[in-house]
Amino acid sequence: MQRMTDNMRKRAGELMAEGKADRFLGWEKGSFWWQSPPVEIKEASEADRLIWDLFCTANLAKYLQQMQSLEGKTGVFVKGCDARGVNRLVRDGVVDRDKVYLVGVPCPGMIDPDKVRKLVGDGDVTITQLEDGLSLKGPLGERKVTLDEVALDKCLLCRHPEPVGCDEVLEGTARAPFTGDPYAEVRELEELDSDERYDYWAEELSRCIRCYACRNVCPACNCIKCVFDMDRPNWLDGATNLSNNQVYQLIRFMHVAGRCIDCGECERACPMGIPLRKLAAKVDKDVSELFGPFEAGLDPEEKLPLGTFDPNDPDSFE
Amino acid sequence: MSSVNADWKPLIVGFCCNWCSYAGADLAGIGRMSYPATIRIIRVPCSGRVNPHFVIRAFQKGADGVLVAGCHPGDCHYSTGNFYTRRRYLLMQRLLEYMGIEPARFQVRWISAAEGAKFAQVVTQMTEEIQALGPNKKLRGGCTCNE
Repeated sequence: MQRMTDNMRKRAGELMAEGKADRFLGWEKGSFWWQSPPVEIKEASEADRLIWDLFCTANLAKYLQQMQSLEGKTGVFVKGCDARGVNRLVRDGVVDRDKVYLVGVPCPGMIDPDKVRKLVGDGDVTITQLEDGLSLKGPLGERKVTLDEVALDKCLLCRHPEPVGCDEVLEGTARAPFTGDPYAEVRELEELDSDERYDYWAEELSRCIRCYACRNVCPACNCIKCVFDMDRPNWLDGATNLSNNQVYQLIRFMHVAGRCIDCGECERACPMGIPLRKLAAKVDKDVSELFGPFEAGLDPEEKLPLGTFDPNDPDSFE
Repeated sequence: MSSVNADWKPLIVGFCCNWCSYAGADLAGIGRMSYPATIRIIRVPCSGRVNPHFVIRAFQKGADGVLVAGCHPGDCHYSTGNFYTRRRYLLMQRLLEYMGIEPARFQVRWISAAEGAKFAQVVTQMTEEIQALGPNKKLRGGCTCNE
């Protein structure tokens, strides 16, 4: 971790001095142990603010959308999911690849603070890296765990921890890509009958406060004017009730269908803890089942499943 | 839920493409075929015009079922419109089902301008299926007191 941090600071400084990047996006240490929020480095001398630890969860790709209007190049550190986020934005024509310099960081997987809290309690927690795992120290005592025991669910299911399509990749080891069935949770829900599924989602979505954090953080939700912000036509009124919340999520996932890169940012940003990745995974699974194996964000020139067709597509409509 | 009124008839919103299904519905009328008066047809230029939002909005505003009808794949007036429709609604049908909406409530059918009888049969069948399910309460917004 420390070696990677040093490497990042050095590379960011060098690239800015060489003029290959006019600013850099990375992560810095936040106020709490479980925070490593994004930071924009404007001068080479500020590069020391950068860090790399197991909380650099935030996907930096989305910030590039706002940076497009700035002059010069933006350098970004990207994990596997960030790199696919950048591909998403490039494919959607939102980000000009020539205005971006990507430095890949092989990702070991990130920590889920809630899992740590469950093990060692809420409060001041110190996490030290050992040779063969992590040592957690908190109010409830000390525990030795492996990273996988406290990693985010999305990281455990990650199929591309190694960043794709970067200008350069820093030296390091990524976690082993997940090779099992990424849709186990979806299948579990599919087993239920209609009413049970309805009740499950009604309970989850009734918590939604429609803060739109999931949309704002999503690299696939990059429309300049979102349908949910329109008042003419008023596609969806602002009242926060179950019906509106269901409509919102259904439409949002139809809009990102075949474009979602499964970075899990919607679920992380959700203040109400709604399992949004279960919806994303469902759409992802169906796209692959219906229209052939497909993973979004691997290629900045990919054909989008819903933007194309095959005359021989399955047809259950008669 | 109180027992369903015996006189209750479902309300189905049908999006019919101008070139095939709308003409198919017209043919059903010209041929004096009878089918339940449960469907309210909205004419669209192509089934590809039907935004998923229209369908979900119809459910929200009180539809008990939604039918999207278009030309048979390969026969689209605009060549390829319904191929996109097919992909879009294959996906959305599954997503609605996943959210707990009964599959019978949302259907897509290919009905050509010559298939008046098929149109009548589709509406009859859909009405029967939804009649059995009862009024739709899922996704419903606003006042539901008139049920």
